[in-house]
Amino acid sequence: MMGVATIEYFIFLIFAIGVYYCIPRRNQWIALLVFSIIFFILNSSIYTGVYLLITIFSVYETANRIEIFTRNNQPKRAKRELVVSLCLNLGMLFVLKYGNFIIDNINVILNTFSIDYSISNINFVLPIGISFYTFTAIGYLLDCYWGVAKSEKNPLKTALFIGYFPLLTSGPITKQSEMSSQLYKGYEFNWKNVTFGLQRVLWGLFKKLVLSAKLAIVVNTIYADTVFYDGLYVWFAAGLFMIQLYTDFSGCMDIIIGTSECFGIVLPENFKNPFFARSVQEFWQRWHITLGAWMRDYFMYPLLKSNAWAKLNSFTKKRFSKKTAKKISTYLAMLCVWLVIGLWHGAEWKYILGQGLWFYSCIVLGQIFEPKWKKLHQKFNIKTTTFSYHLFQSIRVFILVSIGNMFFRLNSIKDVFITIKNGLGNCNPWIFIDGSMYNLGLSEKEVRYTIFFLLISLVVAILQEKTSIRERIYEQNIVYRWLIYFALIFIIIIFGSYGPGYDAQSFIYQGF
Amino acid sequence: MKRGELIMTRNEVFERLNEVFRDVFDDEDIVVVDATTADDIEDWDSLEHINLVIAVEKEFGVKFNMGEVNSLKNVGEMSDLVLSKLN
Repeated sequence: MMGVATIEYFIFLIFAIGVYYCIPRRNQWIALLVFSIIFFILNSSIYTGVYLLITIFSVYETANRIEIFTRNNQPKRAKRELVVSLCLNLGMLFVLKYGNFIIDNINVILNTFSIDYSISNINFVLPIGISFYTFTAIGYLLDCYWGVAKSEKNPLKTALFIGYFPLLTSGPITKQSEMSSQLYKGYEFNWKNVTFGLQRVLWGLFKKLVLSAKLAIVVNTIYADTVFYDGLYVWFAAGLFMIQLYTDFSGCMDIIIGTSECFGIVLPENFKNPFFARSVQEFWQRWHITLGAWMRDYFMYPLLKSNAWAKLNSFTKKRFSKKTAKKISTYLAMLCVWLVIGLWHGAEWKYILGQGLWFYSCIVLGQIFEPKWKKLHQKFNIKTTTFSYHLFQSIRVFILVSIGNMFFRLNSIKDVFITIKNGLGNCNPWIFIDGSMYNLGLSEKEVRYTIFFLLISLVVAILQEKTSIRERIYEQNIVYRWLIYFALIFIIIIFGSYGPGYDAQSFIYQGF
Repeated sequence: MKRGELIMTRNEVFERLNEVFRDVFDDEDIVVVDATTADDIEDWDSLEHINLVIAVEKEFGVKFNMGEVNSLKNVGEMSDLVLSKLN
């Protein structure tokens, strides 16, 4: 295994950049394909490559057939091709990822009816990044069908689009229209691209190895025994896990987007300072952006425009007022979307509840109560544009998403409820001042510098909202610029977590 | 003459589009121009976008495919698309 936060990966990357810029521009994409194959073999069981190959070649074939049938004015045949390929690829994802989930639930039902029979689980090994590349592939097929994307005529180029190695760890989910113009054209060596890319990789390593890794220790300590660490410890851990998840996932994205930038290829952003969001809805527009955009374009829009939905609309319009009918329609569509988002995170009820229904409820309740909030603001003359109000809103969002992600972190729904019970069972605010914080796996010194580095990343985030920090650093003179880089490198080397007992290669979102 | 007709038609489309916008967003003060985008109308989010598209389809008796729905950038493009479907 060679995760993207390891020294092996860094050596691989430097080697790849060297080769990439030494060969003729027209062959550079072939080099990327070879690196992608090497990366896949190093990170995934080799036979799982069969699944990836099936996806690549089915998508290649289907995209081209759809184009031919559309050109020949045979929309029905184009549709049939699309449906077959969607079933194949979604079916593969479903069986590999959700097969055991379904078997387990069937067994529970059989058990309930006292039927003495149970189906045994199947031990599938998943190829790396299956949820991400399958979604990318499906988006491409639908774009071809809708006439937005042109089908790729070269199977190897299709293979690179779906299996481009930076995307295999945890996305982002890309669109063919954004990628095809960049992946194959080749680039002259550009000092700015490469330094910007490596800079971003460093920043990602900082987030992962210095911040996320340290926060994980505290979170793990508390959640390992919430009978002992009860009361405010529980809520403290919930908040810390939210920050851990953010620094882990967005740090991974920084490494991936930075890697790709070194090759001159710009990937879509997945995060836009989500903790500054004013509502849970806005949080999801700033968190895992490419998943949200995919869900909107390829699931929610087609669902709302489908004939079934039109029938539902005419049914509700006859029975309710226009406004209510519209609300029923949108809330129902959102429910479908959030159930799928929950399920996408993993084949467990805790994801369906915590990542799906919890966020759905927060957003829908937020929308329902919005007019009431507005009235309240008017009544008490509360100014909603002030910094203090924004802060209040962001804290509210942070608390809500932290609770949702307790389901993510803890093992089961039952565990979440036990933990919440322990969290409500004791009021112990003194733990924050009596030195208890130094007994959670980190020494006093480590706690201090972790707080310091968290504050630094907060300052960076605040600046990012206003300006491009990278451009600002780039404008500085060479001494100052390199001082910043070296400082970051030394911080990662000195304060980062490595070695036995720490698994730097596993990112939380990597298993998807 | 043809040119004049086309301009008329586009204005007409705009007028009817404006009505659809007012109806969908429940705001009688909305006035749309070519450059109007989702940023200009407070309630125009991804969910309302699709409601809007469905309402426009109904108003003009046309059908947009999903690719067209996703690529619309402003009201000008929307009216051009409607016009291209009508003619």
